[in-house]
Amino acid sequence: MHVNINKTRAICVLEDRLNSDYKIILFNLKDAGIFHELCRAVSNKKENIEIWTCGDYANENSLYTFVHMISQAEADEIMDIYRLYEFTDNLIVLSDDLAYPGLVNYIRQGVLDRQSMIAAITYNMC
Amino acid sequence: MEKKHYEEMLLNLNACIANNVFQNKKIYLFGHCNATEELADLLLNRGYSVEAILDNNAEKHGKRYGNIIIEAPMRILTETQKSVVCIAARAYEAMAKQLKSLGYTGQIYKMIEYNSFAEYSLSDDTIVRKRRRLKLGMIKLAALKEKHKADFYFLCPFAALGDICFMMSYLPYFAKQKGISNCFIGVIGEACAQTVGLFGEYETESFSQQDMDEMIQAVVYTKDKDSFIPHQDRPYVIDLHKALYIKKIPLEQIYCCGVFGLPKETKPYRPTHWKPYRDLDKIQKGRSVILSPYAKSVTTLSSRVWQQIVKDYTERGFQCYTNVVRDEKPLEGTLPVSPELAEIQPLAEYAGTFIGIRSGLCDVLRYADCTKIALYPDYNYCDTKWKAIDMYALKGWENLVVKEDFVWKRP
Repeated sequence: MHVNINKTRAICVLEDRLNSDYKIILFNLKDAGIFHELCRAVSNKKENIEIWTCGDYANENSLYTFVHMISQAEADEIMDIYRLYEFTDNLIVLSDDLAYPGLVNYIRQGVLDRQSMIAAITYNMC
Repeated sequence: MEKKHYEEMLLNLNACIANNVFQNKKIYLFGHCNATEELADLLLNRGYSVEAILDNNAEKHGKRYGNIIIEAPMRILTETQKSVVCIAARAYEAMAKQLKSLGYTGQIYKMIEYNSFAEYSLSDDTIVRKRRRLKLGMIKLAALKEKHKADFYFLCPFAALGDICFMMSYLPYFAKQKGISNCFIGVIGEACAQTVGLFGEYETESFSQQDMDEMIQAVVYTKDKDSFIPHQDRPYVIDLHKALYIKKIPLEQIYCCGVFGLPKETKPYRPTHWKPYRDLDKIQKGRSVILSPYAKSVTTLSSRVWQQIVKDYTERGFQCYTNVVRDEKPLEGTLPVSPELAEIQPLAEYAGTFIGIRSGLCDVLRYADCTKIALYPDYNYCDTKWKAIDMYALKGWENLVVKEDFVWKRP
């Protein structure tokens, strides 16, 4: 039996972007330094990549057309479905979740610097 | 590979055959791994031929498994006849997507459900199904917490002895930092539960892969503050493995710094809860070799390599034993031994020498006081440029890479 669910606008936009072969980076960290480093790295890529964030510092990067401000509620909606299952490999989420480890641990322990971390995240992007 | 996965693959293969999936079609396999080799063997034994094994790792291109060539996925586009691609790998969803984006329009078959977290779709049906799965996970997680009253719950998503060893080596520091005095450790499979037991008295339970996946999804979804998933690349939300595209980080450091966020200098805890091997009187002390040729997640080494090793030690008067479980066969010219996991170190130390394919068993034995030799198949770690030996080399061991022209020479 087919069941209809009401997808929110944020999820519809996300689905549309993914169907158009976009890569979306949802930036959910509170580290402006990493955000700026990420913007610099993405600006050198040719692929269709967008950074979605609800962080305040995004305003400082209005020059970057690939940075899209979203509301906290929209970020939460995307995180809700991201935490439900792996629906794509073209959504990269940068968050600091206590229930599982993340790359930020490497920065804290001096294994990676910010630049290397961003290079790792964007490695497979052209 | 796990027996359960093998049986599932066999079932799916038989269904494909019954439905004439392979009739008048060229068969390709995608992803060179242990499971793919097993699948190739099954197909060959049933009289089918495999055109090629497709793999993204350029270093494997041109090499062979038996007579089957390993080639780039693009190869499939040059196929002029009808074809099918069978995938027996964890990254099925990404691999199927890759083939389709290359322009492949033939049929693609998933032979094993390795990754219940992934389904590349945002369809209503998929979301509804995943919500149902989440609900089950939440119920199971609640039941687990009701059964095991603990301050904190570690849920290990993958049945690998090496992962459990590394996890247990650093978990006590993490627990201390968090003020956890009474933790529960959930694992998959009895061998992993036994591995936990080597490190001390922990409340542990072994779950099926499905139950574990569902509970882990519940932990992720609810951002459960009382649980932690101590792994480097599972499930999909964990991104530590991406660092390997940029830097070589040995698995030990991945667990210490990446998984648990501990300083590099942290000294690992060692397994201590060993028990004497029950049949030590049948082993020649210091004149025996324990051979471990089988590993479920590593591509096999040529039987020629093992023959050379057995011949060398036998000629010098050593007694050779093969460590076997269930229906595994001992190597020719050796006797079978089947120690419990907690007996393996006392056995190896008494025997004097352990030689094994680099698997999780080597991690269990890493501190054994005997001659230890690890044999590394010449493969790259996942999709990185690092070789297995870069990631898994063991201190205090002879670490030998086994290439195609390998000739055994005692270190």
